[in-house]
Amino acid sequence: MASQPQSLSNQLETDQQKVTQNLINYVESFKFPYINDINNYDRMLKIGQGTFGEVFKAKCKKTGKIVALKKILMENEKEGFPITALREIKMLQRLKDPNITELLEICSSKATSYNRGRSTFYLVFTFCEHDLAGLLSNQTVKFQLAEIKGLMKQLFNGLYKIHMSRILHRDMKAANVLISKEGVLKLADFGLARPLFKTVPGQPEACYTNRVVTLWYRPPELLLGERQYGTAIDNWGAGCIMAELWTRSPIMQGETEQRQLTLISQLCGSINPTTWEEVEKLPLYGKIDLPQSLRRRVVERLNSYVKDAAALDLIDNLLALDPRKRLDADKALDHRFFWTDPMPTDLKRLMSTLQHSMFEFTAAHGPHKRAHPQQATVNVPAKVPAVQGHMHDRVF
Amino acid sequence: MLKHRKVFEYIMEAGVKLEAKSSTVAAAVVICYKFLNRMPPEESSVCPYTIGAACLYLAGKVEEDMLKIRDVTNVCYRVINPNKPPIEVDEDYWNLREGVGRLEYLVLRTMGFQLQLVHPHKFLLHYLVTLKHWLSPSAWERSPLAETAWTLLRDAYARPDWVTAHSPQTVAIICLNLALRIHSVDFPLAPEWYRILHSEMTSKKLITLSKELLCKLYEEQSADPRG
Ligand SMILES: Nc1ncnc2c1ncn2[C@@H]1O[C@H](COP(=O)(O)OP(=O)(O)OP(=O)(O)O)[C@@H](O)[C@H]1O
Ligand SMILES: [Mg+2]
Repeated sequence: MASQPQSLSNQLETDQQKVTQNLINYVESFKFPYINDINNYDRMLKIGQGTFGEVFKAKCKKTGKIVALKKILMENEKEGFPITALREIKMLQRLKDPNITELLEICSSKATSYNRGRSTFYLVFTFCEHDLAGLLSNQTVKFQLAEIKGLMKQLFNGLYKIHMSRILHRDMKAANVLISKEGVLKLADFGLARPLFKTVPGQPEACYTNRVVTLWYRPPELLLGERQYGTAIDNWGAGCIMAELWTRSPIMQGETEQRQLTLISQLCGSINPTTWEEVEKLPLYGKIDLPQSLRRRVVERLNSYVKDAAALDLIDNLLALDPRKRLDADKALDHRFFWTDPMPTDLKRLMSTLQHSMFEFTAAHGPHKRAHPQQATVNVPAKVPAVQGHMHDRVF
Repeated sequence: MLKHRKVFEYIMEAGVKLEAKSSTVAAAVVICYKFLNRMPPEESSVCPYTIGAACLYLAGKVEEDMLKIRDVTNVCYRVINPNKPPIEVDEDYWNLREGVGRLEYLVLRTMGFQLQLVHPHKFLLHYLVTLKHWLSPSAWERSPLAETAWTLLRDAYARPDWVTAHSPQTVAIICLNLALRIHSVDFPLAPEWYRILHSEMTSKKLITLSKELLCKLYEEQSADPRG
C-alpha cells in the first residue's frame, strides 16, 4: 500500500500534501482489477502510425485472438487523460455495429522508467486484415461491380448507424475503412468523431472546429469555414471513397485548401449563390478565390472509369456542393444502384484471391508510406504535404 | 447517513460554482459514487475530496462540458476551505492540480472506462414540455413547476445510491411528481399522467418512491453527528 496521496481535505497537514511523488507511486501501484494488462498480448508488427498514436498487430496470449492495439498518445499530461482519446472510447462504446470497428477492451502497461513513471493505455480492436487504401493501391486486386455495391452498402450501413447515434465521424477516407478477412467492411478511426449537438431554438448554435477531415476528402462547406456543419460532411467523404473504388486513387488531391476548392469547382462546377443557396453566408466566401463559369462535370469526368449509370448518379448526388442537397446515408441505401442488377454481393470471392494481408504488405511501401495529404487535425497547424506524383497517377 | 454524502454535496456545490451543466454535475457524482464503491477498503486512504475533484474534471470531458483543471482545483479548494484565503499558486497548488489529473486516470481505470451514463435530465425536460401542453397557460404560469422539479432533481444527487438504483425515467417522474404535489397541481382529466409519460410507472411505485426520495434527501441530513 502506497502512502497518502495529494489531498484536498483540510483535515490533513500541509506537509503531507507536498510530495507528488507519493501520489504518483500510489496511483501506479494501485491494484487495478478493472482493466487488463497489455502483457496479455504479444506484439507482432507495427501496422500504422496515425496522427494520434501508433497501431500494432498483436496476439492474445490466452486466446490466440489477433488484435490491433492503438496506443493512446499522452499529448498534454497536465490536462489528465486526453479528451480526444476519451471521445474515441465513448463513441466506440456507443457504436456497436457489424460495420463499425469493434473495441474489445482498454489495456494499460505498467509504469516504468521508460515511460517516465506513467503507464500507457491502448485501445484493443478486433484485427482487420485489410484497409481500403491498401486494397486500392494494389492493382492486382480487382473489384467486380456487385462487390463494389456490397462494399458501399456496408459503408452506408455503418455511416447510417453513426449518424443515427447522433455522431459525426469527421475523418472519412479510404485508410479509415477496414475490411476483415471475412470481407466485412468496418468504419474505423473515431479519433475526430464528435457528438452531434442539438440545436435549441433561440440559443446560439454550438460550433465545431472546421479543421477536420483529411484535405482530399474535405467537403466544400468546411473549406469555406462553416462551423455549424452536420452529417453531410461524412457523406461527401463517402462520395469520394465511392469514386475511388473505380479510379483507384483519391479523386481530388489538393495541396492546399485553396487548391482543393479549385479542384472541387473543376469537378462539381463553380461555387456561387446560384449553384449553392446561401453559400455567400459562409465565413470564407469572398475571402477565398472561387473559379467561376465552370460546368458541373462529375458524370462526364468519371464515366471513363465508372461504366454504371446508377453508380454515376449516386456519386453525383453524394458530391453535391450544397450540403442540404447532398444524399444522406439512409437515402443512399435506397438508391437504385443497390437495387438493380447486378445486386450487391459479399466479398468472399475477392477475399479468397488475397494471399496476404494487404496492409501488412503495404505497411512499408504502399499507400501508408506515400506522402500523406494534409491530415485532419484539431490543433496541429496546417502542414503542406510534399506530393510524390510518381506513386499514383493523378486522376484529375 | 450515506457514507460520503458530504463528498457528493461538495461536488454539487463546486459544480454549481464552476457553472457546469447539470448533467456534468450528475455525471461527476455518479462516477464518484461508483468509484468509491469499487475501491477496496484497504485503498481508502486516498482523500475522497480530491477524488471528487478528479471526478468533476473527468465528468466535464465525458459530458462535452470541458472544465479547466485550474478552475476545478481552485474552486474545490475554496469549497473545502471556505474560511481560508484562495489557494496560492505555489508548489502545493501545482501538486494538488497534478493530483487531480493523476487521480482522473485512477478513476478511469477503476471504472474500466465504462462511462456510458444516461441521465434523467433529458427525460425530465421532455416530460415538462408535455405537461406544459396539458395545462392552460395561466395554470402553467401560476406555479414554478419546472424550477421546483429541476431543483429536486439537482438535490437528488446527494443520494447517488437512490438515483442509480432507478431508471432515469423513474427518477425524472418522481421529481416531477414531488413538484406537482408541492404546488398542488392536479390533472383531473389524466389522473394517471405518470403512466402516460412512462408506461412502467404505477401509482404504488409513484407514492413509495416519492416518499423514499424525500426521506433520503431531507430527513437524514442531520442524522450524522459529524454534520
Ligand atoms: N482494427 C484494426 N485492424 C487492422 N488495422 C488497423 C485497425 N485499426 C487501425 N488499423 C490501422 O492503423 C491505421 C491507423 O489507425 P487509426 O486510423 O485508428 O489511427 P489514427 O491515429 O487516427 O490514424 P490517422 O491519423 O492516420 O487517421 C489505420 O489506417 C489502419 O491501417
Ligand atoms: Mg486513421
